[in-house]
Amino acid sequence: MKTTTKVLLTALCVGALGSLAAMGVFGAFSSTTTNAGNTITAGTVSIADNDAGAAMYSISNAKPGESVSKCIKVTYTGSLDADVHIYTTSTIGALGQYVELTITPGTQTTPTFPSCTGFVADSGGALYSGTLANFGTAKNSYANGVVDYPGTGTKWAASESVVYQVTATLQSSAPEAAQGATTGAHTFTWEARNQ
Amino acid sequence: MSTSATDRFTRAIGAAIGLALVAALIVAARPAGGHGGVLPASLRFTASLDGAVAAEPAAPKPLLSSGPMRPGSHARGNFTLSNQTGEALAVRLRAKPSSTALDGTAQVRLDSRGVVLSEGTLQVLRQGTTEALRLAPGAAAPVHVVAWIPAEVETGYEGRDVAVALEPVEETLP
Repeated sequence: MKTTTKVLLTALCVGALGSLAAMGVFGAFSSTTTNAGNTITAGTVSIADNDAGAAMYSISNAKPGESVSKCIKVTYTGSLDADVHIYTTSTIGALGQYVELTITPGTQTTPTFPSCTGFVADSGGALYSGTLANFGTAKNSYANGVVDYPGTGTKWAASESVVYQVTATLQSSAPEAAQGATTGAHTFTWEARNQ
Repeated sequence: MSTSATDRFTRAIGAAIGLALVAALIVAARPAGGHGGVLPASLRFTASLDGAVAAEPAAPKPLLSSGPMRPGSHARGNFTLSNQTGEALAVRLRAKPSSTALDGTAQVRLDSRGVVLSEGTLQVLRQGTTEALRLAPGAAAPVHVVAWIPAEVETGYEGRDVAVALEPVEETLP
């Protein structure tokens, strides 16, 4: 084989091998990796009760000393830890000053609104005890509402619940002026806000 | 055998051994994996509360955790629904999956007291059960959940993990 031919063949081999090597190098530089599926989802604040839209009580022809006691179960269904305050924004009628209101937290094995069968009060006793009229003026917003947590906790977490016994009693000492008076329809509000 | 023939035979044996060693090295260096190296799917069901209807177990506790699921796998769970209101209720359950990844692949059946409330894909369950569970005030009923990936599914499930919240939707019965 002539020297020229050998040189050309050698150059051809070196060139071919070098090309293969270069392909490998460029392959390394073009490699990529990805991280897909990144999302952000906000938590929720949600609270519900078991009244199916019905009122706890509606008493007509009430006489002094007459009392009604009903239970409502409030369940926190949000995902974020929350505070819950109880208040009313309703304007209480003239009879409200003669109605004693008590709100007591507790538990109930088989809640069936508005029955209080099986209700067991928490050891801490009533959250509010006073006239309905005073509740309407002193507890009329989230800011001044009655604060409560399940058991001895300091937050409401998902699926936690409390049963509230609401008792309304027309004072035995209600004066003659209370005859025919009414409290008017009033709404109790449980509001949850995330911590 | 002549020397040149011996040399050629020796070289052939050496080449064959070398190729065998290379093949063995390639096979041994493959990543480990069963099922052809395909990741399984998984499903996790929870029951949401809405005040009127209580569930046990309730979210965040799962009522069904499937573990690894592949075509032909089945997973089962149970929970109890209770009517806490003073009204008779007709309760339907609606699925709220965390993603659409298994919507058309996973099959789900819900039944209670011998009645099939719903059977179909996870996507269909987003619309709610076709049958309602009727609960008197204070009454409770068990609900059984079965989820599976049909054996004939070939793809579309790999590595897909979906959390499904079952939400009650009630109607007050007259």
